[in-house]
Amino acid sequence: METLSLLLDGFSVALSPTNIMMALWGALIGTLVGMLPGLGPTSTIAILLPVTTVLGPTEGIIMLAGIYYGSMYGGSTTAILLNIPGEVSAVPTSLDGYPLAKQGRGGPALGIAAIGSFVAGTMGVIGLVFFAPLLADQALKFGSPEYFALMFLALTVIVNLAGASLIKGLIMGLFGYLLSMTGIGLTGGQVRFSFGIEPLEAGIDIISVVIGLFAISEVIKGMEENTKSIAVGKITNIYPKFKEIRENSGAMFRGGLVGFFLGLLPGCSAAVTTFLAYDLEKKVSKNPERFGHGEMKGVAAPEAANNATSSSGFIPLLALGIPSSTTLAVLLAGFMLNGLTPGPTLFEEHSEFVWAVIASMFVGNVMLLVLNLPLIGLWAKLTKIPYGIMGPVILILSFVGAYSINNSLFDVFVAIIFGVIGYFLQKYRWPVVPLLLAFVLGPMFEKSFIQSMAMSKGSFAIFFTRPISLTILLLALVLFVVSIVMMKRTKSRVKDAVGSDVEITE
Amino acid sequence: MFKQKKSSLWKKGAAFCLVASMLLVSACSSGQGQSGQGQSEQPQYPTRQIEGIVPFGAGGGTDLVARAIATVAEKQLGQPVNITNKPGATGTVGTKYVYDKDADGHTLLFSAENPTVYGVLKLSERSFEEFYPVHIMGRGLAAITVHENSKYKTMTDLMNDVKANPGDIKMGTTGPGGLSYMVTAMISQSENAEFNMVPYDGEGPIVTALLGNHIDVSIVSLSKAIENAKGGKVRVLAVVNNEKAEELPDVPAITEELPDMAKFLPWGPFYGVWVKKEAPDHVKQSLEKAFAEASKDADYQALLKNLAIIPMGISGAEAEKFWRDQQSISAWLLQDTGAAKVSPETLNIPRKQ
Repeated sequence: METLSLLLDGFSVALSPTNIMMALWGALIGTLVGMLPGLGPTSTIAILLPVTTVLGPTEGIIMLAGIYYGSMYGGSTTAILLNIPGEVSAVPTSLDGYPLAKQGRGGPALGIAAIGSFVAGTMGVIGLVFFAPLLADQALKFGSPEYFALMFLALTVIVNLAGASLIKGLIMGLFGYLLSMTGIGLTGGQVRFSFGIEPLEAGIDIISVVIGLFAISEVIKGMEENTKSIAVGKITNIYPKFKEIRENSGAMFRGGLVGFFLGLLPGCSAAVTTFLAYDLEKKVSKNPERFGHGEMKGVAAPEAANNATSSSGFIPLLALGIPSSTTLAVLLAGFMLNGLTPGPTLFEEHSEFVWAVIASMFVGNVMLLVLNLPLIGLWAKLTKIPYGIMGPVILILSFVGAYSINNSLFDVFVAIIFGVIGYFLQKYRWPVVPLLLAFVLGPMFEKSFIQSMAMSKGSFAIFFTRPISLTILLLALVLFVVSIVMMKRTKSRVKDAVGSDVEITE
Repeated sequence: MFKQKKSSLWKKGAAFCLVASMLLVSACSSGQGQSGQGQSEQPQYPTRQIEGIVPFGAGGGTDLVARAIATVAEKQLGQPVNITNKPGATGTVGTKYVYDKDADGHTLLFSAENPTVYGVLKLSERSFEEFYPVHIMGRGLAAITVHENSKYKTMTDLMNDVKANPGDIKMGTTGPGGLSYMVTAMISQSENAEFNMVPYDGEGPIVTALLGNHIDVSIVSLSKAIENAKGGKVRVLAVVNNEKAEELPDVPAITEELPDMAKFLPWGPFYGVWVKKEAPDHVKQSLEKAFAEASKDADYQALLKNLAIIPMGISGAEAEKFWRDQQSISAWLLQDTGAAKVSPETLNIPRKQ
């Protein structure tokens, strides 16, 4: 009950006209920033950090937090409509979102994404209100062996994303893993796979890879196929029907739960949770073969997971001062600049501030919905613009996005190279998603393995003697087997229906 | 084809919005162009906006300090100083970027201590040797930190256990050249002790592992330690310095417990502003004056205090000596631990004694 009264106090602060404006500004800037690939919330928040000292801590942090979760939503717009996932976490959204946009259903997809984000974001904040200190301590039990097991679990998703040929999927996964090793290694500082090219010593940036494999290769494909516009058919309706919302509510809740619990773990970024949420949805679905070809649940679940992760990421941040992503690390710097030290004492010494920020997240989530639903019509029309105009615009956006990662032209070249690679891979039916997934998880996989081995002085027993790690590994094994069985079954069912072998995923 | 014409205004409008918002945001990040140049016979500086490169990520210590002093210094210089982050490969990418620019003082390097070990670790050929120290803002301290419930109450407890169980005590470290790696090497060398080094990729992950009891001890920057000690989650056993830290009057300096450490100290991270050494003298003088003046700003000083950075405000020859001393300690330490890839001797780095 005390929590509730504190929360109500928080609302009285958060609902002041200035703070509502701050939440609105944050949500608006965040949405815009999230739409641009590369220029993510991290750099925006860093640039705006000094503003917090002018605005005052509560106002400033409310705005910065708004940018953070606003960008999570914004990323989905370009992922769905233009196949440009601004962040890795938006990749699963584009897997089904873009096919939907091509079918002229970009509007409903955006609507479902907005509603899913709202539902899960709100779920996340409720979790934050009631379980913050309790859950934060649990998250700390995750050490390197547990993260290794978790990465192992996430890698089994490759089986589901491999498409027609599991072998091709695994090859692509290994290729992605090798790519992820480029740059300075964690132990000993050895430079790997740089081939004497100096910028490669810094490693290959994930955003350039995403932009190349998705956006640029799509433009090349569009040129080849002489695409007239992204949505060739008629746009049937702008807003999702009530029936669609109801059908997808399960996916939203499941995605939200996955996102919330995994988001508690520092180091388990939204990139991991969205993939796992997408995979879970595919597993529970009655029609897994529809995923990758425009299944609305494939948009609802990862979008929900994305926003739940961003809310639950505040739990370790506020309760322990542990940021679970780079963006939150910059936000933490914002706290420090204002003399606020996150941790248990923050709740006691600055309870008004904490609860005002939490309450503002409710306000901000409503803002996002109010702000974005009316804009959907406008965005959806983008898909009808002649591709002769849209193609170059997508390319420019891609280049700007790649450049803005490190303000370096090298990343633009990397994006172009991956665009060409992606084009040929897709043309010859090699799945790119396993490559990307292994690329994202690779560093974490390697790092947690090295750390575990250092802890145990080289004994593999460390993975099987720690209860959490063992449980996750067993779960991974079960899911692996289930995936293979399900894939076989789906394949034969589709074969019965169509009468020939059909590729079930991209 | 003709059907599309009806809504073409809409499409154009939408496309315009998209492009406009893109330009707007990218303009914010890269800084706006600046016109208006003052020209006369006397060498003028600066004649246009100054690009300040931070070779590390946004929001980190170097970035915060750089942005804080740049906002004051630009008032002194009369031209904006736009801070841009060019992170990557321990700062070598951004450092090389500044090196490749003209030596006219319109590109500055805002760096931490990392370039001092580029040579021995064979990371890059472009380190502080190529630059002139305009202003060294200050230096930070390291702190030996354990979990609040740790059985180690003092430095002596820890060292006794390390000596009784060599190679068993899990020490969270960063890569070679990093703060915790270097201090661990110092302790190992002066005390003849052996830790089990568990590598992490930054201070944040180390603290997380420490709080979760996955490692036994670690060495983090004082500001990070204070931040967590305030919440009562970690205990600071010693400050890696030859005197106590103002912020933690109850915590001993490491030299009180391990006197042999004195030969390595003072040592720690430091933050500075650098310009290419070929820059004209009048440029160096203008910059030095501007930053010295800027460092008096109250807000900036408050930030240093917040980050537990000891203000230094030195430049020129004094700063040169300071970083070379630091380099000597680091380079020879890496050589002695076997982590150096190029001997400091080859690089003409003398052993400090």
